Amino acid sequence: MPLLFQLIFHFLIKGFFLWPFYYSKKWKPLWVGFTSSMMLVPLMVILYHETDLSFWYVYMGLIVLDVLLYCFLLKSKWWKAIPISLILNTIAIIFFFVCNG
Amino acid sequence: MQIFKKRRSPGLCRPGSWLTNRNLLKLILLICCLSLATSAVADAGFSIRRRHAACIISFSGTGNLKTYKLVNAYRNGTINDEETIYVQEGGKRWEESDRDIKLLLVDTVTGKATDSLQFHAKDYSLRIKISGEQNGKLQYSMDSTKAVYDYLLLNDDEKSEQFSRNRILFITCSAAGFILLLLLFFFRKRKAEDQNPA
Repeated sequence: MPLLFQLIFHFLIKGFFLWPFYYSKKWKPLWVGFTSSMMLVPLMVILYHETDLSFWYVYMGLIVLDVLLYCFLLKSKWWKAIPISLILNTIAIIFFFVCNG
Repeated sequence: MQIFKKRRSPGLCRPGSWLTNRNLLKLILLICCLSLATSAVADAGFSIRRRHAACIISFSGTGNLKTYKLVNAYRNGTINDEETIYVQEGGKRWEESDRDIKLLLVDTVTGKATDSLQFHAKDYSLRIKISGEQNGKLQYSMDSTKAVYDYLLLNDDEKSEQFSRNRILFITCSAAGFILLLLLFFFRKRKAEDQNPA
């Protein structure tokens, strides 16, 4: 699937699905979702097709990165950030496999 | 008169421990989410074979074989100039691909194979230029170029010649996202300092 569509769908998952959890932060969750999608989607595509890196590590790395982002940028509590990150990254990586399988 | 004293639930652990009922509930929630997430991902796609760069084998000069024809031995098809053999590892096309390719030079009059050419397609795209035949032997030259993965930007019809440009755009997009995240982070820090100058 082309990069543009992957970016749009990834942003929908990591931005719009994040919004209800941090509704009080106004537009900030959308910004965080947009920038993290922009950074991660092309990187994941290159890693997936050009390396033999285990995607379990990528999946865990994504979760840790998102927890840090939510804690630092959205000032979330860790026990709230971890389940949200798990749920969103699971949906996002399943979508990624469907697009690049 | 109060007969029964109202007592607070002691929880599962000793008083003063960090493992209170509330923390226990949070822990259970985390374990449930973790198990659900990992099982869903394992079920969804970690067993999928990765799609790597495709090897494309193309032909030219088959018209130079006047009383002969070139046949793909494994697929039983005559090869023409328009024919391309697409070898794709991983992904949805894995079942269709076969890396070993055997070509036979067949005399159209007698129907017998007089020469054969066998190669293993991996990592390189091949262009086979056929100059003719001599005493029943195939005369050809072969150019090989590194097989590259098609990075698509906007639509599915983009050509593979734009590989290096598209790859650089992928890397640029990723770097731009990283810089934006850094800006968001530093903006947050500055705002916090403005609110609490001390």
